[in-house]
Amino acid sequence: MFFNSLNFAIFLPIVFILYWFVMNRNYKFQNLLLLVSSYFFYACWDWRFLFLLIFSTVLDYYTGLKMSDAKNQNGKKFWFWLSISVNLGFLGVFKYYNFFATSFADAFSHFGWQVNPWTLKVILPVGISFYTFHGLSYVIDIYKDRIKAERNFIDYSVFVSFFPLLVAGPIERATHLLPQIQKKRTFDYVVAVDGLKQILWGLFKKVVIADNCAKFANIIFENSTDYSGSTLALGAVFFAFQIYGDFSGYSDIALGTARLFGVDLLRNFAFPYFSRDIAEFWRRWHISLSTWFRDYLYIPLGGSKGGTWMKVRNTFIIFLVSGFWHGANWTFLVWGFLNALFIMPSIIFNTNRVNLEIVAKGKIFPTLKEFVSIIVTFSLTVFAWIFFRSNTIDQALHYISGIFSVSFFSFPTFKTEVLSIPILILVVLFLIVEWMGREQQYAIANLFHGKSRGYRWVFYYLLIVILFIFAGSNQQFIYFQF
Amino acid sequence: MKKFGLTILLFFIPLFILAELGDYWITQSLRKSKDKYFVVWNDLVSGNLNSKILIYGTSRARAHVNPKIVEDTLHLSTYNLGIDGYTFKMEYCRHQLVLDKNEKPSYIIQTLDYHMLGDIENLYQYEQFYPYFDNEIILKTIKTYKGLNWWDYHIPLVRYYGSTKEITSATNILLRPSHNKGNRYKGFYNVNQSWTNEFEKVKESKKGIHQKLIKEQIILFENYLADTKKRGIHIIFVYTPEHIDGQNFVSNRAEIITLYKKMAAKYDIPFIDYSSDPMCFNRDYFYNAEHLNLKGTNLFSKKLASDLKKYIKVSE
Repeated sequence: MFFNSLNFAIFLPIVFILYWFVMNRNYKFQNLLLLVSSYFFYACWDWRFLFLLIFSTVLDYYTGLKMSDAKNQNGKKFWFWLSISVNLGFLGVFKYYNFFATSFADAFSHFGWQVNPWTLKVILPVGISFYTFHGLSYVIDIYKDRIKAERNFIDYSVFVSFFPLLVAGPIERATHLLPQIQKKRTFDYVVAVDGLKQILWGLFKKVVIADNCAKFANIIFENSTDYSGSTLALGAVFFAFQIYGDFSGYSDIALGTARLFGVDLLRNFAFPYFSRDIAEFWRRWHISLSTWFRDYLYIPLGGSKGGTWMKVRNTFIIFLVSGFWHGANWTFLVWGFLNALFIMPSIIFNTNRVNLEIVAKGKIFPTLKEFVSIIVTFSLTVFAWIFFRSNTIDQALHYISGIFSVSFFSFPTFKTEVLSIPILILVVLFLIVEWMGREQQYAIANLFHGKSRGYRWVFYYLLIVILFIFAGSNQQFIYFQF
Repeated sequence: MKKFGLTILLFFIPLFILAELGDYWITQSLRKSKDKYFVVWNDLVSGNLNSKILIYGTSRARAHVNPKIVEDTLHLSTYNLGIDGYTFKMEYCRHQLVLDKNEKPSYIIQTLDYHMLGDIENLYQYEQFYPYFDNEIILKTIKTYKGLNWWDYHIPLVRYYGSTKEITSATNILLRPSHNKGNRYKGFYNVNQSWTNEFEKVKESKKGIHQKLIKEQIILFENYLADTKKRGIHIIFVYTPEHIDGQNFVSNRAEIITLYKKMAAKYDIPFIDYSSDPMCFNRDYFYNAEHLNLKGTNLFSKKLASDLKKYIKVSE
């Protein structure tokens, strides 16, 4: 069940009404409803993988309890490593086994040994990387004595499976989400209306911006040899907007939906394309994953305490792991490596925490220096996205060599599809709205603030009409595959 | 909570009204459209065919028989009802609309295909049906396919979601009625295109095709032949040119042609088969293995019109 489907438009109000009108006497009933709804939501993709989700939930719940009750450190350590091994084992089998098997076979073939690897014919369970990371953070936090194990199985299961975040995050922490699940939620009109606004903006980003940009990005990437350098560059920019609209749109819908149920999820995006350097970009892009890697990998590895060399080493490690987390393909590793490379100057010269505030705070326009920094950062990001989008390293290299050719200076042209001017206008308008709302949680949070309801509603109706007319052909959310 | 419910209600009431009005307006505009497939459906449902000769078939019929050439040769009004991507079930839907809303034709040129008696599961180019949900014949047929949901049929405007081209077209018809022009002549449309590598791409993924024939389609086809004969409408079977590479690609093609021949004999229907025509050996006349290009179509239509003289009484 996709967030941008009519199924979800029916599912959400039903759960909402049951939650606030039928189950509202006791938060435990509400939690039970959330759990059943979440499992139904997940089963709509493939009910068979529901067992995997439940198994993973039971495993972490049980090992969490065992760790908490362990009488000595060895016992605690045993249950901790059992949970880590099984969680990573599942992820390894479903997501990475085929990659390693074929990569080893390829490596052997270079030495003249032909190996026919046995590969698995399984599809990747939706959201496995996300809920595995939920579980991992939970058991690590218990092991490190940051939290106590949750004894209520329903509450813990809701933490792992809460449907707005189940398939593509944000990757929550037990310290943030569990306390909200463990207490009674009260309905707040302002929060609920704000949630609906965020859902609307998320839908606009996904359905209008991402899906329409995807159409052009797909044509160009799939037929890259047919196009000029300028068109290829434009294709990469289209992909940059596609992935941003897709994933941040998804996150907006997830956060907005959760707020309808009185739950506050971690913010996942903070206008990353307005970043002035790569370090700032990574503080604003997929925030819940970046902070996860910071807290559970970078800091345990020593973080930045061991001098410049350790910082450099650890930065490369987390970016490579982050790349690999996205998918079992060398292209994602290169994407991670490139981002590590781009961030290096600020790591080495210790300037990675210069741009903490949003650009041009309190101003209408950025300074020329800020503008140039934004363009340079965006260009580097787009360059790295080429590897992320390509199926193979070869394809990415061909694409890049195509961009850096004489035809880069020609006017972009399309062979099979006419570039839609209204879509380009919508992308520009989208950027303007994002810029205007960059100091808010999401772009339209305070748009027309202080104006009468009429102004705001006309704007929302306009968004709905645009969404209705320009809904691009339905593309699956990119991050579902991770 | 009451305030929230009331706000939602107030917000959605104008949307529902807008949806109802929008649906009516887009539907009515498209029912005037002269564009693409809409023009053919519009002519069908409003009884505007007014033709003595009707061409039935799939996209091969739509692209291979130019009614203008047939009209010039036989001096009988002709309309091409070939429809892209469907099998006989959808041709039969159009046939029912012919009988229900239009003047009875004297002749039906039933073009044949190896896949005509097969079946498809999903609606193809489903936007073409949106303005005609009030027509029982169309509705009954499209409901036998997958692709549209309950809400597409029952909630106003929902079916037009994301149909940018159709909504733009409806707007243009309203704002610039003089620009409401299409590129079809009485249902016929073809492109001036040389051989593409479509067939080569198919060959890369498949070794060949074994066409499964569906019993229900065969029965429906035979019933249609019997009924049409009873109504005094003359049917002529035509197997239009198919490139030899395409012919060889279908393993049971001979078996299918034999089936058509048997039906032709059973119902006393003339059968003109162009499978061995010299055109079938020349890629200059095709843009893919199954479809003639404009050059091929012009040549073939003349040939067909001339051959039809044997079976059709020519008006002076």
